[in-house]
Amino acid sequence: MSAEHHGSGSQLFRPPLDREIEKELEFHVAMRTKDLVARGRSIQDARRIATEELGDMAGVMEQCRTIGRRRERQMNRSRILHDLTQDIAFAVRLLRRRPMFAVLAIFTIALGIGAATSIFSVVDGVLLRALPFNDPSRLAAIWIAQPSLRDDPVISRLASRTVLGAEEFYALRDNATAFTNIAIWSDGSSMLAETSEQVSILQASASLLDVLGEHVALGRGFLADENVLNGPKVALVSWENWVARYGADSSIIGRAIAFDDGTYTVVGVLPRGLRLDRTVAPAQFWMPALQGQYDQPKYHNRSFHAVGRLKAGVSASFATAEAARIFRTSSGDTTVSARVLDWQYDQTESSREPLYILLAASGLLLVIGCVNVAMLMLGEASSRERELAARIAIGASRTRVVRQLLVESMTLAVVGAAVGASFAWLLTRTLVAIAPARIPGIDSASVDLRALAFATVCAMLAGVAFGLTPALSIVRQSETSLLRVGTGQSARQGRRVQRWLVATEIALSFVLLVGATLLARSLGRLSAVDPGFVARNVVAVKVIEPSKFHRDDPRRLAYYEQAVRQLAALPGVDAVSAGVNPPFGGGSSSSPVEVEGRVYRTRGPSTDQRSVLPGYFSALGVPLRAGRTFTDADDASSELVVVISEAAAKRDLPGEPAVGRRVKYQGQLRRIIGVVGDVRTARLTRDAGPAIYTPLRQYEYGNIYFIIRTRAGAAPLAPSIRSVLSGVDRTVNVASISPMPTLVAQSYAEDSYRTVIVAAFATLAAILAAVGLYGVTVRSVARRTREIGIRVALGATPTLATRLLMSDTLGGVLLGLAFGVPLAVVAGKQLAPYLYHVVPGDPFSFSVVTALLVGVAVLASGVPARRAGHSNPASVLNAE
Amino acid sequence: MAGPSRDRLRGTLDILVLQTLTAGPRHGYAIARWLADESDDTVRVEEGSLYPALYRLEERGLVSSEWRSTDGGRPAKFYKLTPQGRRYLRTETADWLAFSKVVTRILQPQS
Repeated sequence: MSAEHHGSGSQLFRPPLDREIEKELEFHVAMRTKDLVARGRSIQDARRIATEELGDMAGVMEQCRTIGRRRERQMNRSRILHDLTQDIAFAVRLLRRRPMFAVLAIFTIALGIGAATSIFSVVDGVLLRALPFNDPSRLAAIWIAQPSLRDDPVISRLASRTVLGAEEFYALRDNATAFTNIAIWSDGSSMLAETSEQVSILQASASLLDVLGEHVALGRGFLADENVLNGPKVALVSWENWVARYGADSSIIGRAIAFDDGTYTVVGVLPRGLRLDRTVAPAQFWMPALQGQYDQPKYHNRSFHAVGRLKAGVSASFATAEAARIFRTSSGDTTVSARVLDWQYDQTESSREPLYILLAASGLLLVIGCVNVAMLMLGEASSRERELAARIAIGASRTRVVRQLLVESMTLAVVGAAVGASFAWLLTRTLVAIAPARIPGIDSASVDLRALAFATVCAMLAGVAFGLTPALSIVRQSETSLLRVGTGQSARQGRRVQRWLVATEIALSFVLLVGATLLARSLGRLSAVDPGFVARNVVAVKVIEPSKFHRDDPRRLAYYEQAVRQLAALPGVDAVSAGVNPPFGGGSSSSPVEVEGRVYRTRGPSTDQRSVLPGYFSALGVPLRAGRTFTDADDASSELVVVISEAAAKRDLPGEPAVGRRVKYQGQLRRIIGVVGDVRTARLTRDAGPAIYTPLRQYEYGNIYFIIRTRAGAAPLAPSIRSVLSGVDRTVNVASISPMPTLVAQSYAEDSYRTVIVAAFATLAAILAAVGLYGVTVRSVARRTREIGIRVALGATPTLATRLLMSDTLGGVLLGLAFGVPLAVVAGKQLAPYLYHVVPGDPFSFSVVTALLVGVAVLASGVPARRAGHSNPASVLNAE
Repeated sequence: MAGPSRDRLRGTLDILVLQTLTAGPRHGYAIARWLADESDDTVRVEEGSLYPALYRLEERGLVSSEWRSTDGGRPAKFYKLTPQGRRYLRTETADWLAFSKVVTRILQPQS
């Protein structure tokens, strides 16, 4: 065997694949030729034979290339994977060596991601996600608008949203061209005759399912000729009710169900999950609307919500104009107008802006988190410049070092995102759980993956961008200067970036904190508003009346009077009464009141009305200002009397004694026997409107609540209240026993919700800022240890040294405040509609927050600076 | 020639190539010569097909390769058995011997 058959020497450079195959075959041919020549062939012959022996040269090369390429690709993949695993393992090892940094970075990332994601998820569930109906963008709410009522103290809410009556519905249905179809419905409750159980019902026009683009799951929907006076008593069952109560038994169709106002035949089962009002559970039964006597057009009763499906290409404004024309014609009232607007927008109009405020707050927190991560990464990376430079100097490739840093940042970001995702999940559930019931659709909110991805990318970018800055500056430098980094230009540059990061973080934290303080102060003032009655220890009890209590049936009043007497005998009860629509009970009604002998252009001004039993004012704690209140003697056989509120007296009889005068109210003249204090009834922020009270024995209507003043609150008494009431009449169900303070607090539940969330975010922002500043100062102390050592050695006092070390950080803080104040002023203006008796530029809030942030900054930067300033100069100088 | 037979032939070539490498690293030409010499030119593989075989063996991780200079100074690509290739050769050789024993017994029943 020739010597050339054996390898010798060291490994040679491997040529690229194509070249390699060629060279390998060339070698083969050359060797064969040489052997053949040695056996006596001529060069030309030898060469030809050698080549022929090889066969199809091009084919061989092609085969080898294919196999070689395949192998190269495989190797690349496994090498990348291998390197990556190595980098990650290395990153994890490095991070574990710096647990403080790792935990802070992960915590910061997770916080920003979690907060932003969960708020966005809520916003998405409520505002952005389309309603679950067919082509929902063409569904429009239809309201009557009464612009003339805009400034009415009692019924201003009707100005833009008055429900429809049968006459408007018929007029629209017959004349409107903007809609393909129109439907109406109203909510209510009824009682199952067999069990006296209260059930929720919805009275619907036959067109409702069609407008929504829904179909019954079973049986049929309502027919148009069922929406008539005394029409056939048919019912639809909600899917959920069908499953829960009737075991999803399809023989439900045709079954007769006895309600307390008659027996209805089930004709169909509604589709699953169908809900018109997203703030409540689906109505259990649907009945045909417009069957009742008082629903007929001649009674002008307006009690129906309306929704229409706009024809393709028809705008809401066109529909509004057309509906306004139709309403004016049908009512003969030239002042009425209409409001037709996107159904989802209509449902969420009042939640919209407040949710965007929360979104903005969470966005701020996300940015603050990103800045914090950037600060941490920058500090961390710059303090490692020497390590990196050393690694490059001993032969690590620059790309490898940069990749290592990249992997480190990514590892942090990924772990942070994972923690953030679980945080988002938890926070979303919390946000949904503590949300006021009036935000429609919030219960359908779930962690939004797009938002999670977006927030994660933000955090990653921040981490990676700033984690890499120092690495890139190293890569740009020449090798010789590498070992001298950390003292020169790159350090100064890093410090400048650092200062701007501190400033950004402080400015944004300032905005959040000011916002939270403004909201908290507003909430404080709001909850301190005197509602005009003493809510403490008062309980409102709502009952569901059986239909035998038709209005003016003597049994109705007798029930309430007897129940009041028996409740008053309960131990722990101080006073009991009853009345229609108590404050913060959710209901209200109003009627015109005219002073006797006065001439009104159309009719008297609207006045909040309540009919009450004797003892109502003292049970509720409403002060009597003049005259007397009602007694048992004020009954149907005695003179008709009223009590009016101070606001009513001031409006109708300014400067005159009201007691003794007579007013025309509900068609009859009634004598004013007393004046009581004003009572706020729906919102603490709204001044009490003029009110008029009548004795229930003289004028009876509406939903009556028991008002019970207890000695020790509602909870211990609830069971005995229930048993007393069922003892009086078993067919009357207790719907709710609500402590009055709870009802009052519910009226500003949105304010509380908003404030709690923004305050929580602001607190987190302050903590992040403190952490960030502490980290920055520690870093700058570490960098300047040598300089400080020299200064102290040369005679600088420890205090001076401390101040010097703090100055870096505090410079950034002051810069941040300079930007934060104007930003907070702008943000405060956005909050203005939600502030009660607090101005957006509230000096107190601004000073408190400034003091707080400066305090945090001094503390966070002072501690490490002081420690360094007071250290022994000799040990400091030896440290390097 | 039908498919399975070609597979067997290719498999045989694989074992033979691996066998040539048991003595140490060799380049492709040396392998081709050794095969010709050892078999007294009976196994006259078309020399070109040796190279795709080598690439396939390398892809399967049975051999590895590197460029070295020959004793004569020319750079050449040397192939070497990997531990995996050594194991493969052992089992394949055993299989082959068992197979050929059976075939031999059948073909020479009275011997």
